[in-house]
Amino acid sequence: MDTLEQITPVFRDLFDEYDGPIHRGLVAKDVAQWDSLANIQLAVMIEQATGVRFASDEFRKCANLGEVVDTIDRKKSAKA
Amino acid sequence: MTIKVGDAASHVFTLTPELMARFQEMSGDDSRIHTDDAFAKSRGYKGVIAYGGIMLAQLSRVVGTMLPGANGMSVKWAINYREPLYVGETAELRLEVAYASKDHGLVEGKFKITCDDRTIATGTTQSIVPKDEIAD
Repeated sequence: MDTLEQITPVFRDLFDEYDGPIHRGLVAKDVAQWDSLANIQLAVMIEQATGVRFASDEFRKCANLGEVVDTIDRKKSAKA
Repeated sequence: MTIKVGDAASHVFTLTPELMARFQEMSGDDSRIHTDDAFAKSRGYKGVIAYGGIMLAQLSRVVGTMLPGANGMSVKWAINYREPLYVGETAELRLEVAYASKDHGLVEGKFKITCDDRTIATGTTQSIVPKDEIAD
């Protein structure tokens, strides 16, 4: 299972009114429920799902979901 | 004192007829399982069963006054009702911090409501908390 697949259930759980595709190019403006508060929840729920911790700025600065995935993969590789 | 994983708070409450009546009036929910003893017994219960909202009200008390307390703001609650709680019974709600992120200012809790050896409900909470109230 790749990282995008791993975090997809988290995304579906939090953004339960969004039924569009989940892909690397997804950004907050594509998802009505994805506001600054939900972004905090998303960061923490992804931390729990992947075991990777983010600094608050680090998560906020990700331009799209693909950058979130890349950051997780980079941190996982660094730990290995 | 800052909040950290493993911190816990608990609250004991009794499901009185007055509490049931007040919740019925407040919510407008007069469904028979909560108001009609004979009906509840015909469905296999010992009597009318607690409103789920009353248990959430107890959770609100714990979250808002104990853990994380007065400076927190709830952003998510999830609850699974496991067994009924009956009028006259006393239950305990115990909430424990399961995850805390100082970076994001968010605390997750897991809670369980028990009555004697029965689990009445289980669930989770998420609260936004000032970062200086969360342990490193």
